[in-house]
Amino acid sequence: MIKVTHVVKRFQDKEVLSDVNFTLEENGIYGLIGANGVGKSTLLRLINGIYAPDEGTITFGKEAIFDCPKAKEKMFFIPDEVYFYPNYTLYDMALFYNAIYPSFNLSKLKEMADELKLSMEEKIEHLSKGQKRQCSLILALASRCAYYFFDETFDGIDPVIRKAIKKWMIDLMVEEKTTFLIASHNLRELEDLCDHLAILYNGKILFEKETDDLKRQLFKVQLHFKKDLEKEDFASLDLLSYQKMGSIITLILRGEEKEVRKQLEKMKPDLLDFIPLTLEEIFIYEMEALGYGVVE
Amino acid sequence: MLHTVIIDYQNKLPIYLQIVDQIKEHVALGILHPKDQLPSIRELASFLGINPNTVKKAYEILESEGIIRSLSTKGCFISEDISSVLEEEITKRIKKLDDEIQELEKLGIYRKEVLKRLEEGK
Repeated sequence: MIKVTHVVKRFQDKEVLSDVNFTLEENGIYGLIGANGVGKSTLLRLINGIYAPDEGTITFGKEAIFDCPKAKEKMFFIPDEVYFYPNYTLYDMALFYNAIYPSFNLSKLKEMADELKLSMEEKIEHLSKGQKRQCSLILALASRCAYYFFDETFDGIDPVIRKAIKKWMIDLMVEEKTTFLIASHNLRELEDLCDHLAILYNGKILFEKETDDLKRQLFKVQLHFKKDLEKEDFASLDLLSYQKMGSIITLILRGEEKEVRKQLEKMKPDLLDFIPLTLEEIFIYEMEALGYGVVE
Repeated sequence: MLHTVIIDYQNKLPIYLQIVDQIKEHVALGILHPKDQLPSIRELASFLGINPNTVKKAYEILESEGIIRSLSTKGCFISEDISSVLEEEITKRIKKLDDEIQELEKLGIYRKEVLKRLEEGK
């Protein structure tokens, strides 16, 4: 388990992270969402012991990660700008990582390289941007670490390759109870994979929830009544938004679908429609509910 | 079996419930038979490109409802007694039909009339 407790990070006078609390359990995929420049990469560098926090602690088990090589052996970080030594081939990089990570598996790497049609002998700098990312991903997965940190790593990876990478990630989770933390500004990219989602905003983690719970607890409902109803008539419900256009009322509300439906049916609407929300919409409404709305 | 589970990301149902519902439906429709083996968690997760924990959650629910049995080393199988699944599916579909009739009633047509026209095939 990796635990981030009350972490603060400043650069000169600028406070990038003001109070971050976060726990990564074994065997899961965590999505970290946040706009550009919100501090996602800073947080990942802190967790991986590249920066030291100004305040707070980051621990792997009981050890502080910053100066604990034993913990770092079990962690792999792919930064947003991947780096390879000049003139190195995939094979050279493999030897390098093999020296760092005790569980590095060279034959597994060759297998993956084969499947992605990446040459072990070609200089990495001659490859395209997407191929470089693929190299860093398979080097990471071949290291068979317990915790992985991907910073916008799927950016610029085509869907076919993405599917192959996902399959190897799933294999690792089943075989080794591996944990992944994927930072992205693109929610859609995370929707199918992550069982937990966290949003980083204004230097804090705003909320961290299971993806399934998020999807189940928020609804959009369209209603029409013969009589004239106002917002106050829905006061017994946990309302996030109320809109009335002509005689159609649109509500965003929180709760268990069955309960909400029962309550609304009691009011005898002529029209009662539950409309699915995408994860993206859910995030926007959750953010607004916390007072971080975007100006309309 | 693998190719019959389809995930709809636009659907508001969480992915694990989509899997549960589809497997139940396939059991009720006789696409899956008692004693049929389900794909392993890894196979289904890889095939769908989703988190294995999600598949695990779906299988746990199916097992707690007695629809599948997991034999620790051999994998998961459809239970021998699936009568409850069929009953549940029928109830669910009748409910759907009833909702539809209620909608029709709002359009000013009596239930009796609806049923009569259904029987006459109009």
